[in-house]
Amino acid sequence: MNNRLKVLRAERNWSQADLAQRLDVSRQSVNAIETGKYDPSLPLAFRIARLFDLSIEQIFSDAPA
Amino acid sequence: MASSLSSNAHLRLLMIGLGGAGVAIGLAIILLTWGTGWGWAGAALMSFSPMIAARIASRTVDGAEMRPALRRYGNRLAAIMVVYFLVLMGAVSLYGQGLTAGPLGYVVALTPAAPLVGVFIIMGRLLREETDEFLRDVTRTAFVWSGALTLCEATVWGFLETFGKVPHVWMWAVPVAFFAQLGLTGPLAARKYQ
Repeated sequence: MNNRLKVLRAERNWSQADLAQRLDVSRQSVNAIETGKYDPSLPLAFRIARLFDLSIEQIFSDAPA
Repeated sequence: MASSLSSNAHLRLLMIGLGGAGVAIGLAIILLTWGTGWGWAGAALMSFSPMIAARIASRTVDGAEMRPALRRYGNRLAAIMVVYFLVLMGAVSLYGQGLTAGPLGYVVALTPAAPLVGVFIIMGRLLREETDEFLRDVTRTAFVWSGALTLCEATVWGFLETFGKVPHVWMWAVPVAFFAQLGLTGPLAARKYQ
């Protein structure tokens, strides 16, 4: 699954650790999601979407990269 | 940044190496000093060196996090392993003095098993208490891989033993192998996401 997490994070000048702290997850977790190696659960996807004030579809996409 | 990553990778490798060396040296001590009191030192080295190396790595590698659930897991594991060694030394000492005959012998024999069973409970609590779903997934994968590997080894060894090709191994070695192999399957499970 593709996502815009890295771009959204960069727009806010947040490090992976900053984002991890805001989501209450590990930095490894943020890195794995950003690189598309781990797909978050629906509850975590909702938390991410709320943090950026966007819908899940505006962050995650199942279309080929 | 690149040099920081490189030094982190080197430090991680160093800690894995030290943990592995502790296990290897401990095993060598057990095998070379079989039947003497030094076996305890080997067993302690085998059990504690991976834990100590992992703890040092988590505190010294930049960006490495010690999540609360993992910290509690480490503390509980260290405490129960100390209990295990004390209980085991006591039980073996009683056995050596011939004081384990009769029903009391069952109690003495089962006492060292309790802390090892406790380790599985501690592992279950880690999975329950870890709130990071990604780390939970990696940990669960490591547990499953180590379990599968241990069962495969036990199956192969069992048949070899049945056909008289290898010496008898006590069953308590099975969970010990499972725990030891977590040192291998943990990094492998995490590697999938790097």
